[in-house]
Order: sequence, then structure tokens, then C-alpha cells
Amino acid sequence: MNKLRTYIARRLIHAVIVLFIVSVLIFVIMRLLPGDPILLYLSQSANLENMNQEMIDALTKKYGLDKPLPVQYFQWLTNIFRGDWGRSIFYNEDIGQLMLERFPVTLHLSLTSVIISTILGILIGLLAAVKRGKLVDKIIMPLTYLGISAPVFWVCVMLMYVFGVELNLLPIAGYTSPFKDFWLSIKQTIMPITCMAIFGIAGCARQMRSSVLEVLPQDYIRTAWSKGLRERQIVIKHVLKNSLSPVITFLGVIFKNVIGGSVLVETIFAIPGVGRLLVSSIFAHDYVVVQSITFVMALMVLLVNIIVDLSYCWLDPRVRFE
Amino acid sequence: MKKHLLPWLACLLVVALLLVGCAKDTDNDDEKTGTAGEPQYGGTLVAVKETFPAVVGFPPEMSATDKACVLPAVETLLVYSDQSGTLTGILAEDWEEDPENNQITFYLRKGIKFHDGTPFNAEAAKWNFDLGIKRETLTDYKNIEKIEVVDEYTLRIHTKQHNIRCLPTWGTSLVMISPSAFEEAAGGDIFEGDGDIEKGAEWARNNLVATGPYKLVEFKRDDILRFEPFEDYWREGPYLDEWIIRFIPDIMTAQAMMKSGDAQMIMELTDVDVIAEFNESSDYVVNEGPGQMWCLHPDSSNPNSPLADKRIREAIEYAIDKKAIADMVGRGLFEPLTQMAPKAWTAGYVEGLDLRPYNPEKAKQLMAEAGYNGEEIILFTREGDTPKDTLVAIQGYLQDVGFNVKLDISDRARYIEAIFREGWDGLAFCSSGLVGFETNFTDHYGHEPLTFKSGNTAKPAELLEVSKKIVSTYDLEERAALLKEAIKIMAEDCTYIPIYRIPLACAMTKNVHCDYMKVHGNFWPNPNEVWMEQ
Repeated sequence: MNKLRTYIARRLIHAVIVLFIVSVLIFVIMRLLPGDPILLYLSQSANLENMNQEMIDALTKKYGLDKPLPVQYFQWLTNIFRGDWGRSIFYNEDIGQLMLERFPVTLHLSLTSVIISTILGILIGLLAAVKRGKLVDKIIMPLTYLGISAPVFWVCVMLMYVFGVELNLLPIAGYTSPFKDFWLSIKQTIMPITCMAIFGIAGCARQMRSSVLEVLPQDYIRTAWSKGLRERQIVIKHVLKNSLSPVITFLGVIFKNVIGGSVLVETIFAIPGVGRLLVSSIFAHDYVVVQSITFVMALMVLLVNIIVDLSYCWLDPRVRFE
Repeated sequence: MKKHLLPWLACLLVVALLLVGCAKDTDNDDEKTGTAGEPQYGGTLVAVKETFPAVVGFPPEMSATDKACVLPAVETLLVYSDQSGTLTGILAEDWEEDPENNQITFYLRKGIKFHDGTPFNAEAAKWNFDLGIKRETLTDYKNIEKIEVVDEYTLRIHTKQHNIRCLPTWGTSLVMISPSAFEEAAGGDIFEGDGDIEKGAEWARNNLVATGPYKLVEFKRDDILRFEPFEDYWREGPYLDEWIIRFIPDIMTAQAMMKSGDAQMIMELTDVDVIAEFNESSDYVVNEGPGQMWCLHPDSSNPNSPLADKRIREAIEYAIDKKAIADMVGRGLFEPLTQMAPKAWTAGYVEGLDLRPYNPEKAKQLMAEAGYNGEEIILFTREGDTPKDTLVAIQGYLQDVGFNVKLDISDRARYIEAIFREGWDGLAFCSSGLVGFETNFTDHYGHEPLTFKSGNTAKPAELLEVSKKIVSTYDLEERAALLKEAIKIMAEDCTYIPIYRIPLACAMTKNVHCDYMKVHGNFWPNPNEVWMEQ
């Protein structure tokens, strides 16, 4: 137990270091981009024609951009711990509020697609492994290649064309909260979630298949057969759990991909999630919004990875945290 | 059971393919309607837009894009009612301009209410002007001496230096919001000091209480604007039960929504391929309005630039086959320009003015005369709405005659920095902002421009003189003559090199009856007249 605690503490320290590096990197990269965010904001607001140096200076001061870069960085970082994420230049809105509006949307899509990816991926992989060399396996494996290699935007366009335009079964774009209108929400999220989940399903299925194929020839499985257990019992009780470790590792990859892919999927399906907020903020050079979103995304990915690592212990008691 | 899985999957695949194959072909030969009929009440219009507002109800912070997004709900004192710049009264039923005494008087329409039920009158209009002045965002606000409420429905603006910009600028750009609603949010009178203007602004950025035919009932940032009819609207209509504007950043998604019936209108369409596609289909109606002119802006005020030499600028203009570019890139929808005025702008367009038609030999000759020896010329523009094919074509034409041209495609931030502040090197290829109104011309290319302030392009002294005369000439014929003179001077000096004018369009399904875009991008006189065949 002590070793586990030490391990968790060590991972958390690593996570803090990684977060710090990510935040510094994104801070520096945003500042390296040419162009003044205040000028950009003024150029697309009503102030364009009255824009003068005093106005630019006043806004620069208001948003703290006149201070030295290290001061700006540490102010932003310390404010986060006080719950103050800063103010968006482009939206003229509290960033915490903006993220609170957007993150639930992205998390709804991302978590659903991760869950679907995992469940379907495991089942498909298991089926392919158990039926190794048979027709089912011969159909599943090429499809998983397709799922891994198909670009997300292409999948989005194809689904939109077939199910939205030609069959007219699903709405093309938009997002409704499931708490507002459950069925509309389901219809609107089928295509985006499918696009986000396809890579995960395919990857997870391939990982699962390989893992099951490694487990099947093990002695304890042979013993189970020799005890006269039924196939279903062997697969579910003995093969499944012992094959999950590599798949759980892959979960971290899926989550990272889904979060990254949300930027594209949200843009194509016009979903007001955090991915689209990130894109528009990058174009508007809305420094603090980009920093804050990246920070939260990095934090989420790190936490998921820690949870994944800890889950090995549950899956395989032989694993020791040292 | 397991053995039956594959045949079932195969059947499903075949059925899906058959359904797709047998789906209705949307291109049929039905007649386009889109023409007038008896307006019908009812229906939900879903319009999509590529850009979405950051602010919906606080005019001092609203850009032209923001205003265009909420146009079913907002009104101004005046609007442009045709492409030649004729003004029509909306909230003002009449107006008088008295340049001698530096006065503009607006006679406001009676019986107009804001969406919160409070009356629109001279006090409310003055409050809106004062708000713009207090926030220092009202265009040319420093030119306002005083705003006077003459009586309940008469508002007079006293100017310091009257010019032709005053009436159209203040009349057409300021949307009127309800002072009561704003001050309720601000906690009191914002000009007397007990109301907090920042609190009011915070509220108004996300809420709109104006006078238009529809009231804003839902605003979800970067997602949706939902409008419902305003029962106490002062004109006939509005006809729709609901008007929804959705933010769709990807044009392909917007097209798919039109094809599937999820949307009935795409607003502010500039992609020529998409416009051409809608034009070719009988299921849609396309309204075209005045789009931007795209021109080359040389850094001629820089003595070290080769473009400071008029012969080099002339050589550039001779070297470019504008018609070929417009035809190729614009699919026949672009208007190639031979002068800094599109044909539709009758006040400024000079018939037959084409000083430098495509002539590469002449270009080479001028380059030799100017002693051009291969100095690098940067062709600077921004990513986004600039057609890349045009840039490559211009670069190709210039390289063909011996210019050493390097492309510099900037992001929006650097571009804005260069155009508005720092200046640029070489040729800046950008939209001129000129849509063909007199004030527009002086705003962008006159002696005191409101845009293009970097001063990179040298303007001939005669042009500055004529520009000064234009802003103080109220006789329309006399002003048109001066505008034509200015256009000629610019052409002779080769101050700018016009390339083409792009269209700005609105595509609709044929059951939607709407004049949007036929007049002007941001405001048009009659959003209340939009209706849908049921």
C-alpha cells in the first residue's frame, strides 16, 4: 500500500512538472506568433475606424500585456489557483465562464466516444481472436485497418453525405444538451461520436485481438478447457480479464486522440465545444484562452494516464508499483 | 445464429447502397420560383453564417459582422436602398442636412417601440449617440459638437466640420437599443453617474433589446441565434414564426445543410464555386449584392521601393491579364477592374477608362526604362478569404515579364498589424473595403482615410485636393464629376492596381422570399418582408 502511495505521489509530481512544461511552452509559442491581439480585436470590432494608439495602449494595459513576459506568465499561473482564469480579449468574457459553457459539450462527446470505442473495440477484438483465421476475423481485420487509417475529416464528410444529405436520417450539424431534448441530442451526436470513436474502436480491437491471442495458448486456459468449462465461461472469466492490460494502456491513447480530434469534428459538425473555442482563440491570438484550454486539456490527459496506470494493479495483481 | 451474422451484414450493406443509389436527385428541371406572390405567415427560417457575433446588443463594441448577424432584430435611422447609395428612412421618416449651419435633423417615426415596450423617440436616439460618444467608438464622433432633442420626435446633430460622411455614417451605422433595458441592467442612469456602464455592457453583450421586426430570444455563443416575431412592430409583418441563424464555420457543412433541408439560407456567401453550384441548381435562388474590390496596394511612399517609380507600377498593371484571372478564379462571377470603381457604381465609374490593358511587351519596355534590375518585390496578403489561385496567377504573370516576386501570405494578426500600423513591403493584395458609395471612397482612399492609415501608398497631391472637395460637395452631379476626376487621377498615377470585384451572395431555397443582399451586406430596408411558402 505504501508503495502504491509513493507511486501515486511520484506520478503526481511528474504530472505537475509536465503541466508546468506544457504551460510554459504554449505561453512562449503564443507570444512568438506575429501580430498584436489587441490590434486584431480592435480591427474586427466597431473600433476599427476610431482605432488610435491611446485606445491600443489602454486595452494592452487592461489585459496586462504591457507587463514583462515572466510577470504575465506567473500572474496567469497564480490566478488559476485562485480560480481566476482571466478574461478573453476576443469574447470580452470571463474565461472560466467560457470553458464552463464549452467543456461539458466536448466531454459529453469525448467520454461517450471513449466508452463506445472501448466496449466495441474489446468485443470486436475478442470475437476476431476467438474466431482467428475464420471469415469473421478476415472481415474484421481489414476493417480495423480502415478505421485506423481513415482520416477523421473524410469519415465526417462521408457520414454527413450518406446519413444527412442522401438518407436524411440525421441532422447535419449542431448540438443540443441531452438534458434539454434527449432524442434530438442523440440524433445530433451520432455522427460526431462515430467519427471520434472510429479510430478507438479499430485500434482497441486490434490491441485486444493480439492480447487475446497471447493469452489463449497459456497453461491456465488449457487447464480451463481440460476442466470441461464451456467456451463462454473460459472467454469471459479467464481470457477477457487477462487480456485487458494492453487495451487499458491503449485507453490513454484513445482519450488523447478523441480530445485532439474534437477540434476537427466540432468544426465540421458546428458543435460549440472547447475544440472550436480553441481554434477561434488561436486565430484571434487570444493568448490566455489558448493557454487555459491547453492547460485543462493537458491536465485531463495526464489524469487519465495516471488512472490507466493505476488500473493495472486491479487487472493484474502481479503488477507492483516500484 | 452466428452463422447468419454475415448474410445479415451483407444485406444491410446492399440495402444502404440501394437507398443511397435510389435517393432523389436534387437537380430537377422545375422552374425557379423565388418571385413575388402573396406573403404567407408562418414557418421557421434557418439561415447559416460562416461568421458569428462576439457581441449582440452593445453597439459600441459591435462590428459590421456582429450587426449583420442580428439584422432581423435591429434597425438604424437610415439604410442604403440601392447600390448607388440612395438613402431611405427607417427609424427616421425624414431628415434634413444643412451643411451651411453644420446641422443634420432627423424627424423620427412615431409609434415605434423597443422590444421591451418602451417608446423609441428623440431622447432614446440621443442616448444611443451619447453611448457611442462616451465609449469613443461612434465613427467620426469627434466631429459632433452637440446633440439636441428638439422635440419628442426630432433629433438634431450639430457638427464641427460638416462633410458628406456625416449623414450616411451616423444614419446607417448606429443600431438603436433600448436605453431602459440597458440602464436597468446597469443599475441606473449611466450618464448621471449612478448606473454602472460596465455592468450594462456586460449584460448587453449577450442580450439585445432593439426595434427590429424580430426579437432575439436565444443567443448561444458560436452556435445559435433565435428570433421570434415582435408583436408591436411598426410595419407590416413579420411573417415568420421563427428565424434562426446558425454559425456553421465550414462551407461544406453549410451546403450539406441546404441540401438536406436543415437550412434554407446561406448568408454572405463569397465562395464562387459554391455560388456557381447554387446558381446551376433549380432548387435555389441566389441574390447577389455588392462585394469587395480586390486591388494591389504598392508601397510607393517608400523611396527605396522599386514601386515608388510610376513606370514599375505601370509595368505591373500591364503585365497582369486581369480578365483571365477573373474568369479563371471567379468562374465568370468576378468583375475584372480597369479602374478603382466597379461598373455598378455609376457615380464614380468612368466609361471606357482602361489605361493599361494586358500588354507584357509594354511592361518589359517600361521595366527597362525604369532600370529594374531584379529587385525582389514581395506580394503580401493574408490567409483566409484571399483566393490563393489569384496570388499564384499574379506572381506568374509578373515573373513572366521578368519581375522577381516572392509571396508572403500572412496570418490575420500580422496582416492587420501591417495594413493598419506598421506598413508593408512591396505589393499588398487586399480587399479595398470599397463597395461603391461616395463616403466609402473617401473613407478608404481620400485625404483623411479611416482605414489604410499606414501611409504606405503615396497619393498624388491632385487626388488629395479632389478628395477634400468631394467631402464638402453636396450637389450630387457635381460630386459625381469630382469622383470621376479622382478615379482618373488614381488610374493615371497608377496609385493602386485594381484586379477584380468579387460577388457577395445569399443562397436560399426557392420557397424563401427575401431581398437580402440585393442592396447591401449589413442592412437592407425590409427584413420584415421575408416570408416562406408553406
